[in-house]
Amino acid sequence: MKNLLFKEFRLAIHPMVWVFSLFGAMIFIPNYPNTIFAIYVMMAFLFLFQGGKENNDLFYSELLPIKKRDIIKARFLSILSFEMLSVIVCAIVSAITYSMNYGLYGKQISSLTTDSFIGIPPDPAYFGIVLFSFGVFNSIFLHLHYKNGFKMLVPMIVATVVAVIPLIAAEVLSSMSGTPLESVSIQLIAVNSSTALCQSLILIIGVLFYVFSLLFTFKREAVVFEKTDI
Amino acid sequence: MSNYSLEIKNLCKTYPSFTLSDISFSLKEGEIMGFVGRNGAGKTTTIKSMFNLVHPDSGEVLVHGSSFLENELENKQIMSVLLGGIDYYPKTKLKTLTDVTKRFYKNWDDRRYREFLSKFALDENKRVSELSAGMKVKYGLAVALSHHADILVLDEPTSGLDPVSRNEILEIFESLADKEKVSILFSTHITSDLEKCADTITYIQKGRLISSKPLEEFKNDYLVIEGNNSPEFEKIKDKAISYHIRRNKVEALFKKDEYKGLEGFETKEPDLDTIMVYLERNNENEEPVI
Repeated sequence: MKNLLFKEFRLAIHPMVWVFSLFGAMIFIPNYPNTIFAIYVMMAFLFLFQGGKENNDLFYSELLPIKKRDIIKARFLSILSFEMLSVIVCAIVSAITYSMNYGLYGKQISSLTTDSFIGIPPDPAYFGIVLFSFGVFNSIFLHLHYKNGFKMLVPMIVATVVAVIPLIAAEVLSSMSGTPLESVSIQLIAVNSSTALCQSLILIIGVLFYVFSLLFTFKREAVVFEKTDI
Repeated sequence: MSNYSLEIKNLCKTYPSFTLSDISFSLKEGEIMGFVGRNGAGKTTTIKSMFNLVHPDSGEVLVHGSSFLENELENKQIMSVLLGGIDYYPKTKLKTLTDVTKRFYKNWDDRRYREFLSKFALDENKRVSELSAGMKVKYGLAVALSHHADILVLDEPTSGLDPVSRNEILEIFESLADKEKVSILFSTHITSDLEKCADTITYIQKGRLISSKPLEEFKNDYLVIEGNNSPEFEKIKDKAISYHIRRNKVEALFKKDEYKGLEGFETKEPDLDTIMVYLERNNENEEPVI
């Protein structure tokens, strides 16, 4: 697996995947929906898979003395790496942005980005929803890709459209101040003792869904891939 | 231990519009086998089926007597397949590609790799797309030999090459088979390549095996007759594999044991090109007769 991952990173992964994975830093842009970066990360995988097709990566890989399912495993691990990288970048930049606004003692010290978080801010619930969305994207895109003879565009469009739904829902629900849904909105945008449980639950659900959906998708697609003629 | 490096037994694969049926042949150590058939005959499908790139419906592939599938990883260490030239990662430098590829082979021999690079005049700093078709084949051979592959399977390695490059590749095959005891199966529809270096011929037509035997035996199975069209020829023409009549001149290919002689007709030994042309001519609109 170490050699296959080396192959992925040395040969297969298009530089744009790296670039898009750093888009978590967009959280620093004032008044920009924070969930947008996740859509860029999903679209980055088009470069990965299209590059693989243009480079005949499947033929190259299948002729190597490795198990077929390990080819899929390496690809899944690459996707996991880039999604995690993007989340980590986003978390770090979020922490920097918060500290610029509130300093170490929680007191507002700058107006640079004070009210810059429109929609859902980068709080635990936000990360839970982003991971949930990645999980939805991975399940749909990878399944349609491997099931339909390595097609890319339609699986990418379908998976992105469906995966964007929880992101849009989060953005909409977190902007409901002054409406009957204000209490839901508060649970999503405020981090305090009264919202901690809800925030933690959303994060845990997001993480669990992400992990289990990736594992389940790998097991299913590895079987499909073993049977596929190239 | 089997006498054969590679044995293909009853390989079958059905597609909606094509069937590969019951393909069997064997390759000995140090033998060069030409795998022949016109375009679309099933050569590439056979090769892909052998290596499980497509999944055969039935049949077995044995490598040094043991099942390819049961020991797939070990067998891939000592086998190499080249589908055409190297047509992957075109924008990657050879040294990068080699740096990745060699990690997968237990017996990678860097010294040997350097020797072959030098022998084949390959520049490691070139990208795959900058290599000529012949150089791509040579790079594939250099990589295969550096992990001590003793079975090489090449799908149309000489297609698209000029005669000089083709000859170079064929001489490399001869040297590998004679000096290194490498067994080579290469598919082609260029019959002159086979006349130059093949020990045995495996001929397939429309997914069916026509013959698999030593080159000379294969050629000795057939004869060509030439003469003026006559009522006598009309009587036996159905026994011909196929024939061509133009301006009252007849040329026909027969299986040797089907031809009993005909007055006024000359017989001659056919070359592979003639055999292939007449074997295929017969089958344009009918089932194969042999």
